[in-house]
Amino acid sequence: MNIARLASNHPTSNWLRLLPSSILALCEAPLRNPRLWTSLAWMDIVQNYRRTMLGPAWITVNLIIFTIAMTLVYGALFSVPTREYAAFLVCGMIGWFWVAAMLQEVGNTFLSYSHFIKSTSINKAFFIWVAVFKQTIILAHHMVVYAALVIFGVIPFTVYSFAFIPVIVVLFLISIPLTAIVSILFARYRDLSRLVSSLIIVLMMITPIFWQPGMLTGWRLKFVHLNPFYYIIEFIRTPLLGKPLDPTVVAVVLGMGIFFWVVGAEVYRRYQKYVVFWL
Amino acid sequence: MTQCRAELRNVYLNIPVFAPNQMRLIRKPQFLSPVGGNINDNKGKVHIQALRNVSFELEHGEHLALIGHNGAGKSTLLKIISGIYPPSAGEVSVRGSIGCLFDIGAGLTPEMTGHEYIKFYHAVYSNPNELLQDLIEDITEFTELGNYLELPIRTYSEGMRARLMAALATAWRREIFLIDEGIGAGDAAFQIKFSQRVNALLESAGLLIIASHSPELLRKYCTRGLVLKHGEVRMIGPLDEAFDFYARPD
Repeated sequence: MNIARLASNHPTSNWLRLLPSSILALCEAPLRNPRLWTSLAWMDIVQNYRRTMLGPAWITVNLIIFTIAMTLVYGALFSVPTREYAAFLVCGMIGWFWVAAMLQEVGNTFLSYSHFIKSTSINKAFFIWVAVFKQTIILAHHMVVYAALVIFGVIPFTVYSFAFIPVIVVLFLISIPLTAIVSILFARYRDLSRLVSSLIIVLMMITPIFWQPGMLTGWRLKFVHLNPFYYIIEFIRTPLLGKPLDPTVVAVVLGMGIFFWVVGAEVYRRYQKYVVFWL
Repeated sequence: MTQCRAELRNVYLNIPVFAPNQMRLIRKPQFLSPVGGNINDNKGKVHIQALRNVSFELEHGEHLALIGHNGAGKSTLLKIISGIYPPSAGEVSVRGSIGCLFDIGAGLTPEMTGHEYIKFYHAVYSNPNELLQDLIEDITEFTELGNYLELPIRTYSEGMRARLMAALATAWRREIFLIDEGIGAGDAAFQIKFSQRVNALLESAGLLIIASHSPELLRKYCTRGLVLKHGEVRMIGPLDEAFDFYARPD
């Protein structure tokens, strides 16, 4: 039994010291040990699809089935050419899957690791990074559909499409504090997940995913402009469609990101130690 | 090796109880139930006072037995020391790496294979990748599970599962060991093998704290005893005196 080694305690590196302690609490340990949260996320995804023939490829298949069915029905309803509607729908749905996960699935982060939190003193920030990285893996599976549509010429690939790379980085970074807030709230207030699951369909229908924002006129446009999820969807969808990003959308998303970091890091710092009592 | 140390100073722990209409559950006037900590209510918020004014110091090389009835606060005290629970008041300071020999394997899905379990814990305990193969070899040899490690845990018998968990719990050398209840597993032959493995591990441990109802187990490993009742330390001293104190009627 000569395998015993202790995890070495690295001193905090200089650039990390510049961050406020609340932000440090949420990201220092995961940044030092990325192997832990990346491998836990992948193991979790594989577990979910255990004993299926397709495994995680089901994530891709789900999107294909959804797109075909919705394109046939809604494309005709809105009288939008099939190819154009399919492109709009797929890019919008890729965004929506992320948003929906941020409202619902990531909320169960602490609950699903509860046995673990109650029996080891592992830093809880890891679970938050696991949850967000899981969504990144899911997004990568969705991107297979996007790539296929690009190859078949349904979605144009332009110079603006490259903006998707920084978009994903920003999205990942915004999602960390958001996950911290949502998972702490869900652990403490059990009614929240029920409430969100009843609201999520409504939210999906009133956010322009199946329909173009331009279809609404007058005061109804407020449904679009006052809907924060619209900006996130647009932030993901526009570069995927090969179009230039609207600066307003970028500004709103970055603003939300700063807000989430300020609030989320503080909420995490203050309440993470009580999570064990709420599970 | 680090000079291990654990010190608790005036530690209190209140565990909040969340239940809708919780007030109705608590009848007044309150009586101290024979087991467990006090149930208090403070402005409608119910909490269990699991530890009350706990103070003690442990120096390097000390092996402490936690003695007390069910709900006296033994496991809670271990969780405070390991950092799972934050104290509501008071100070906890611990020097040395901690290994917890309790609840290992809890909450993991039975669909995972033995190898996946091993990889999982290897990742969780942040061990370098190069050591994974050594770990797998060590556990394969110790558990004698062979090809079963390739199969999901749900195909294991209780004893086989216990072997794997016991092996994982004792796979890493730590400076401080916290043990809750029995540490035996599997059939008689495996028990002997396991106790040799535990002994080797504990010999090099700087501090050891065991919570158990078994005097044999405690006598085997511990020299000091701490008697807990209703979350309070009633006495701390040599193990035999602690047993005598515990056996005495109130």
